Amino acid sequence: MKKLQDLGSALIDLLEQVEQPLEPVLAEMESTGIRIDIQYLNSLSSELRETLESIEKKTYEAAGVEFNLSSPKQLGEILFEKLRLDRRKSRRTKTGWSTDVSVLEKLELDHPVVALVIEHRMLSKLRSTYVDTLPKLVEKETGRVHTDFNQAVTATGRLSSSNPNLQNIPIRTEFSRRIRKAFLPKKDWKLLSADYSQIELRILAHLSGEELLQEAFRNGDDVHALTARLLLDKDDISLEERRLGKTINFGVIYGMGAQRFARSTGVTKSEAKEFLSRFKLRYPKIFSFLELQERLALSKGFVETLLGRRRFFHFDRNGLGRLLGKDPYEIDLDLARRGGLEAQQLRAAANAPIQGSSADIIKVAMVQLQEMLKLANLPANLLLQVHDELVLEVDPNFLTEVKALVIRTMQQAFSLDVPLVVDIGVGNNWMEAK
Amino acid sequence: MSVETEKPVLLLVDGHSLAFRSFYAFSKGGDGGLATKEGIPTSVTYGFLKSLLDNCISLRPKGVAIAFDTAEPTFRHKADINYKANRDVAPEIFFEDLRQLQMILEELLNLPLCIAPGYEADDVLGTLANKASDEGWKVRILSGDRDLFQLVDDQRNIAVLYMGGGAYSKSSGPTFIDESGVEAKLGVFPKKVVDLKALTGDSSDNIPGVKGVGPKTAINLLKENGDLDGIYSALSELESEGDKSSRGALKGAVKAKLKKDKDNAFLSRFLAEILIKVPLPEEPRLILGKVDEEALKGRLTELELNSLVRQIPSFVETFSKEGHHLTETKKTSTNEISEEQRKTNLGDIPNINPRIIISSDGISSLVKHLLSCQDPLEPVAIDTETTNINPFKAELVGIGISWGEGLEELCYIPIGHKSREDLLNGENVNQLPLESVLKKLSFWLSSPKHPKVLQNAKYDRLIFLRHGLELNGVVMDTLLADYLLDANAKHGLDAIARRELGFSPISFSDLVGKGETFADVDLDSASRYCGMDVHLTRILSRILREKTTRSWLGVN
Repeated sequence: MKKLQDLGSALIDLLEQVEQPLEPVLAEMESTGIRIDIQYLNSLSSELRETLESIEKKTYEAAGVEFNLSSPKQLGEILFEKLRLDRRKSRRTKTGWSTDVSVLEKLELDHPVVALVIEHRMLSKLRSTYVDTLPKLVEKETGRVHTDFNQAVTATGRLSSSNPNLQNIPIRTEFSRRIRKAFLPKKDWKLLSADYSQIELRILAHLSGEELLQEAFRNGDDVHALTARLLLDKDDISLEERRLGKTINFGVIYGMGAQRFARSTGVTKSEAKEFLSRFKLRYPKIFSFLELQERLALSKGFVETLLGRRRFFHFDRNGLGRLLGKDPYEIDLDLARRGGLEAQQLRAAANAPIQGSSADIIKVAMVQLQEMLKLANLPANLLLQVHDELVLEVDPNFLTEVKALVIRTMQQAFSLDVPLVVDIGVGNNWMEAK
Repeated sequence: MSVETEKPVLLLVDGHSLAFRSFYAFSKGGDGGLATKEGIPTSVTYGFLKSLLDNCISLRPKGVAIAFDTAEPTFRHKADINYKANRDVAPEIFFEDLRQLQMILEELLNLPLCIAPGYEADDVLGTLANKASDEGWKVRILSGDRDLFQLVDDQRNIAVLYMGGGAYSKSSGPTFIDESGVEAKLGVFPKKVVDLKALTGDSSDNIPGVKGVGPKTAINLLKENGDLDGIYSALSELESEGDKSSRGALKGAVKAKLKKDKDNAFLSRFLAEILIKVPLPEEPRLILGKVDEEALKGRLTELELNSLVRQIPSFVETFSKEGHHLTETKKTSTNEISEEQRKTNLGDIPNINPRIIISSDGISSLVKHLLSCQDPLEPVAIDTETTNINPFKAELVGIGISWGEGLEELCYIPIGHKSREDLLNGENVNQLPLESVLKKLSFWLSSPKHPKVLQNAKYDRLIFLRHGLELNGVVMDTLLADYLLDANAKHGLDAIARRELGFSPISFSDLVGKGETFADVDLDSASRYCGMDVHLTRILSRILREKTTRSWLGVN
């Protein structure tokens, strides 16, 4: 097996050793498709219909009047005219007031009806996009659903899927568990889910060189608890406190600021600022790495991943674009981060090498796994790739070998300064396997 | 670009040189130069555009690129704190004017502006000149800076158009400088210009050189000893012979001066040398694109540059690909493209001439030829045309194949076109049956030893799979290569063609009406449409391979 660590920086290697070999693997996944449980989906649809109706009833009660929840116009009237909610939290549209998700989120605490509408909208959308659509996607010929895997769509380098769009199933919700129950292996076979655990944090530890974090991963420590301990300066950490550590660990990767941190954890904004600066103090290399990516995006116009994948950033030629060519360490980041849209771009730049490197690793793993499965002639099919997860269907008589092969191949796909860890689950459907 | 006699001209412009000259040419009166009634400065904008147009009208380039410096220090500044330290900083109005000009150049005239962080415009020009020369261009560099003379190379067709005579001289155009021209002006040939500067220094750039050594002495030293290294090794030989020793120009006080400033000499050589392989953040499209006539008119009028407004037809003619005019419709007798399509084309669509294969002999000889194509750098392009974007529902209508970049090195095999009166030039033809076509192609298709290139191989692979055929030997997927070059761009074949080749092929929706499929298209149009797809794929295969391989895209 070829180790890709010493890849040259020319894109041709990425093309010839990863992307082009991946293409036939994706073709095979598309061709194989996945079996789904239509009966279950039908009953799930009815159940959701009932849930939606009950939410509708509650909404009418809360609003004091019956109205068409799916009509933004009517909703706008109810919220801003009848209930006199703060119009400044919305905008005028052609038909009335905007009731899109950002507006509703702002109004959530102002009246119970809003939360109900949010939930109704979400469930309704999931029902139509997934529950009702999946059965329609089944190909008569195979009796399976053949998802498309798009290799040249995302800005990050990750794969995306359509028909259905697997990435958009909201993660860690009740719904996502229930919808996954509809995905089945071939008759009498088992479904295997293999998920890279905390791959983005591991990549961050590797790329930044942050010793504390690297050490923790090498020892198999709980990194969220570690972060909590470092932030709170104590050894005994409650579950709640661990969650704090977790939020900040993941948030930092996405450039989360004090405001968002405060909102997700319930601490005050000044406490949030405290935590973030303490985080910076305890994990200085993480911060300098992330900042360096922002500087590189401004100075060179792009950032790179482990395998040399590039993501370009274009700034206004008369604004931040003038920093092109400047020494990265001389750029005033605070000044650069001021503008709205551009600050967002900078956050994306800090995140891009991490996201992109995850993509690199998963793609390499897929190519190698498919090759190994063929060489070993094992009865197993790679079916899906979503987020950091691979899903396969496996002949139960070969489960042990396949499991071992999957773990080994995924963990060895790329050699980092920290170990890669894969969580495996097996079941009769995707919900059980995860 | 393989015809030796008529190489296309690429004009590379030293952006700052031309911009500064324009600025100082108009502001000598001390009143700030040209400006609109409201005080918006336009010396740079006017002077540059005028000069650029004048030069291009006579030169008729097929490509233009303009290099600029970037705002901050380069590797030369880092090597020597005194480098260019004596230069006056230009006033703010210069920069305002420059930005205004750049917007016009880039967005309205569609000309690439090239920079390289950490390097000077000269390095960008040096890099582009050499790259373009490799690709078969005749390169002309427009500049008022003699530093660029070191790039001149008769063999490689690189010459400088020198705007000498000071910033105020508007009388004659630039002087054409080839290798003998360099020698006439500087006393040495291009390859020795850097060593010359190492000795004489350059006061405008604050390059020290060897104190007390002027051009005459320097030229003689170089004539006698070859280059800087030669001079210093001769010098050290002489040292061993004693103080009174001499050899030609290496005598007396000169020896001492050289010895004293040896470090400066070599530093100066380092500073004076223009690099020719710098990494560029983006590979520029050298070929001319499309001029936005309306917007250009608007902008120039706003800036009160009326004499330029009157020359807009010249701007359009000069900077549009192959002199294409927005209003002129070209008649290409064999292409059935819509009026609309012609108007929006960036440039002419190449007049490809695909062979249509409908005989058993035809297929056999095609396959025979394909089996001889085994060079991975010359892969065969293949593309399927079908009735549906969903491979499970798609039926094969035709297959296009291209084995070379020539306009005739391609063919189309119709398979599933619906029988109609006007199927091919008014005749009903017998298309080869699907099974027999696939059977004949199957060995070549599945052979890993026969290199192929496709745009989005996954789709065609699935189509072939449904017919029981394996696809192997794919050495390049142009969709994936384009994706790696810039994940943010559009990667459809038409978008790549527009970007890399400057023209827009026929669109699918122009060809296939509502409620119809590709099977309803007549053979002639179908062969040209599919032929264009494989022709493009074949050409882009080389271009994208080069782009992904070039070390200037890689960073070491």
